[in-house]
Amino acid sequence: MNTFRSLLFIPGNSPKMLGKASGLPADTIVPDLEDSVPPEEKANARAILSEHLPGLAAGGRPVFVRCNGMTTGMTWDDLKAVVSKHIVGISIGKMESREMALELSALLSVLERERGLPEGHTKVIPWIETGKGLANVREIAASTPRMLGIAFGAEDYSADMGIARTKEGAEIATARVLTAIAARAADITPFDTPNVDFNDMENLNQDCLTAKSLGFKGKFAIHPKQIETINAVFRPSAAEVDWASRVVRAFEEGKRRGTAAVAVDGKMVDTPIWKNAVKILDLHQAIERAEKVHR
Amino acid sequence: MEPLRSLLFVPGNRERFLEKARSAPADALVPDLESGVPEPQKARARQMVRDALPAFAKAGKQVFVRVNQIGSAHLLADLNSVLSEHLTGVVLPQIASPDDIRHLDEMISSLEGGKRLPVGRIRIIPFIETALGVERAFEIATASSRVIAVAFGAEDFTADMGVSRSAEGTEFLFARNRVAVAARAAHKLAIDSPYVDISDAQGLERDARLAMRLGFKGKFAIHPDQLAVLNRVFSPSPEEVREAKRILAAFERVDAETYGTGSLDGKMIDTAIALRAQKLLRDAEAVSRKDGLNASSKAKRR
Repeated sequence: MNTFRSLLFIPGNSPKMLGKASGLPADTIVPDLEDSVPPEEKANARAILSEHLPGLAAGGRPVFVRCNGMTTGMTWDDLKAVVSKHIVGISIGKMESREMALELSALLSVLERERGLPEGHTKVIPWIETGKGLANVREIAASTPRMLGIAFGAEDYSADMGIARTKEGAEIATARVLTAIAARAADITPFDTPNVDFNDMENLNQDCLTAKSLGFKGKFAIHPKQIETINAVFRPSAAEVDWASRVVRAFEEGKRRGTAAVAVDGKMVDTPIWKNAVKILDLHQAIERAEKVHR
Repeated sequence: MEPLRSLLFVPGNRERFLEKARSAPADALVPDLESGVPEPQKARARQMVRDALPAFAKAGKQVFVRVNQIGSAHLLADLNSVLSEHLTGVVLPQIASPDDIRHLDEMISSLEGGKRLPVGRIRIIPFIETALGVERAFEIATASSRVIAVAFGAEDFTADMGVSRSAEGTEFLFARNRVAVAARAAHKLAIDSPYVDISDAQGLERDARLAMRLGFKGKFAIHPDQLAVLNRVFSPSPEEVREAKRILAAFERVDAETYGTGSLDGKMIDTAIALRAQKLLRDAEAVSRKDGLNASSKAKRR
């Protein structure tokens, strides 16, 4: 099981940063062909990145390449440069409808067939970052089995809506929670917007806590120094792990005795609560394993 | 429509609780056959709840039995056992799809037919308590004319989202809000999640007031001590009733031939505001009838 607490952007045209990425403690590496690469650099970035993919994959962490959105005219060239066994998937900017998601999926299928990869190998994390994308988020989340998660992008979203960004983020609160619920409803994982103020660690911490309370399971990072805080917030706490193991034990004990009704800390444990506890333990174990490998 | 300010869960396997519930000042009683009843006692609980129904009806209570969820082997036996002229409806846990409601609607219809009950009288209150349920709240609310109310379940919703539960409940504020709006859009009542800390009356009142402001018309209770607070919070207050009467009086003075609007205390009154005042007075009347009934049934038992 891969973990996806922190997803670190790396500019796709920087051999130096791509070379160093594997040594960083991010759960997921996200080489970028979109916003951090200027238009005249795109072709160069594709060439550099495709050379670096085998090395990034060898680092043992999942690699998701961020590609340019479906209306930019650049998506196909991006996909041709990166679809391979070295990447777990792609992330794509400004996803706006189910049709657009299916179109992307068809492009991926073409490349997968050409390259001898199993169809569906390449997972997708679309960015919801426009009013239209948000209005269609539920259909996008459920559009294809390629969807591994959904990313909410606050900067582009507020630009699209023509509204100002504030530190507290009241202007993005509804969009964020809608994205989290739509992802959960489709049984995929919601990822939160990067925090652009990479010098303010207290603000990042608060931002992560808010996202976690809404159901996000990870957050994008634009700077390596954000990784540690993100990993810490999205790691199940010792108290959560303790509670989850007691719930699982009580539930299994109850099953053996033939009763569905068991209580932990005076509260009834039913199936959704048990499932949540199992998820917390799985994540906890996956994080422990991953950290052992990378230490 | 009958008020549904307070709906009291009663464990279906506890004879004493079932008997005491008759005199509890709840607008509705909700005998539980689901998570409060351990597996080996399900059959016995069914029997006990069925036997308790006539006395509940006689005490003037609406009765909604919480049955086991769709897909459970118990559901058909639950329905078969409790469907009768004494039952108002059923509460269904963890509804995530309008198809579930349609399926249940058909099951109930065929049982009503078999039992020579009028078809369509048994009501459904679905619990929305998963992310998928929240996404489909309006479709669920409109899936059958049997659905008279939609309930929000905070404990299971937060578990489904994989988030921890805080005292203020900001982590499910949006979902709660959305269920209330979906219910209203479908012309159904929105009923709020129970408040689980029985000893904290202030917390209960705060939580109920917030729900009321979001558009919920009632709330589940897990203990009889919670009922008085719920009945008060979800009733129009005396000040609101006075204000509504003044608004209607002022609106009547408006010369409708010439003007559509009037004013009171420097604020505009139009048809929408007058209608809201009328509705509030109707609610207040229904509620005071109900409270009179609750008081007399309690007195009779003393």
